[in-house]
Amino acid sequence: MARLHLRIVTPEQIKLEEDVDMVIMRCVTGDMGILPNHEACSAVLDYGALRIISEGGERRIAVYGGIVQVHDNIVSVLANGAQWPEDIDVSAAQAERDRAQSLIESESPSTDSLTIQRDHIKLRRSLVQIEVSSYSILGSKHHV
Amino acid sequence: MPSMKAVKRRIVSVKSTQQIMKAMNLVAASKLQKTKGKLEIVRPMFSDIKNLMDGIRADSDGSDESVYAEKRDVKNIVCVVITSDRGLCGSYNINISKEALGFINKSDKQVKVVAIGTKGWEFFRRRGKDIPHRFSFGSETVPYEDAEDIGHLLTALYTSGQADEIYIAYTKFNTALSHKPSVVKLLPVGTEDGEEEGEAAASSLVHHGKLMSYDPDAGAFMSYAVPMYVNLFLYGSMIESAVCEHAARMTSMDAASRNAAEIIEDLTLAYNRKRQGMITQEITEIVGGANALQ
Repeated sequence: MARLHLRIVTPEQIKLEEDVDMVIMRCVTGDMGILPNHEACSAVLDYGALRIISEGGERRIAVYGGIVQVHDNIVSVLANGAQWPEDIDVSAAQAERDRAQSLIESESPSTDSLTIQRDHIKLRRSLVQIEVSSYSILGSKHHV
Repeated sequence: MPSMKAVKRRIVSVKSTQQIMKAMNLVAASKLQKTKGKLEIVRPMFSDIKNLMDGIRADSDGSDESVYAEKRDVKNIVCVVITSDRGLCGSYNINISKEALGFINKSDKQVKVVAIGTKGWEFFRRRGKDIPHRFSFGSETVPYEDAEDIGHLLTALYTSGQADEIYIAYTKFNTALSHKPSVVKLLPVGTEDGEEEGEAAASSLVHHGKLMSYDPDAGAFMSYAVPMYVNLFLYGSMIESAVCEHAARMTSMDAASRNAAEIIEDLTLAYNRKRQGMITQEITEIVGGANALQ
């Protein structure tokens, strides 16, 4: 049976390149699942967990926004950033979440939009980190 | 003629300078290796996103309501110039600055400069250019966050209409000895100039062979993909420039330490000649004195 060739790259690292059975990812319009022989498509990735299903096991990786392109059973994910659960420092992420939350609360209408945007990005990033980090033990048996 | 002591002192000072240059050479070599590793990752990723952009352009019929797709009268041009923060890297900075200056002078429009790296900022400030934004350039690490921050700014300049065209001047790395300063268009995405781009678009069409579907739609996809493309483009050219800087520093330090070795050789020769001259003179004096006694 045809399989998907999944490639996850960030500007600083090639995170993963291997054949898998199914990919489920968080796009801006909702979750999108990709099975082999999917039509050619491109989508915008949101902040969220990307689920990789391969040989009966499932792994998750935190993706911090990006774009994905699917064609000819090749799924190439270009992410702004990505992290495996075991690389995430949960306590740091929790601290970051609390800090971002208090920053957002202290914002006034005069705060410039770039700062607001940056604070929200921090918050979303830390929330995804916390969510994905809980899958560390489940996923580790399939992750080398 | 300088005294023997003076020659000796010069030898010592040239030797210590040579030590420093040798050390800088080694440091540049290791930094070169590090940044080169990054380059190998970012190059394929960049060509991926470039193909994607070319694909969108080929697929979209121009009806998309994306700010990046609209055509504008070009009034304001922004040129991003990437140079190093520090000197001692041969002609690296002057080459790219001159290339950018040539581009700016050729244009009949008003060109603003965004300087990444202190050296370029100094160069254009001395020539009285308008530099609304200036960044320092940490060529040792080149974090992606830096490129993201500058990229956000550039995208904002473009979408707000403060810039109708954005160019980027950077040094392209071929081999350790061959670097090419070049000015390329960043925004709007891939219109006219450059035969390379045309080729890429054609190859991407052949590559996919069928129409892509876009989620949510081509216009929305583009308004997300373009900023990312800008960030990546910027990051890629920063990495290329950093690699070139280290390579340039390495070769110029290597040449400098070889020059130092030559100077040391000459000075040592002069020193020995002097020493021998003194010994000869002393012997002559002794012999002369002994002869006078007989």
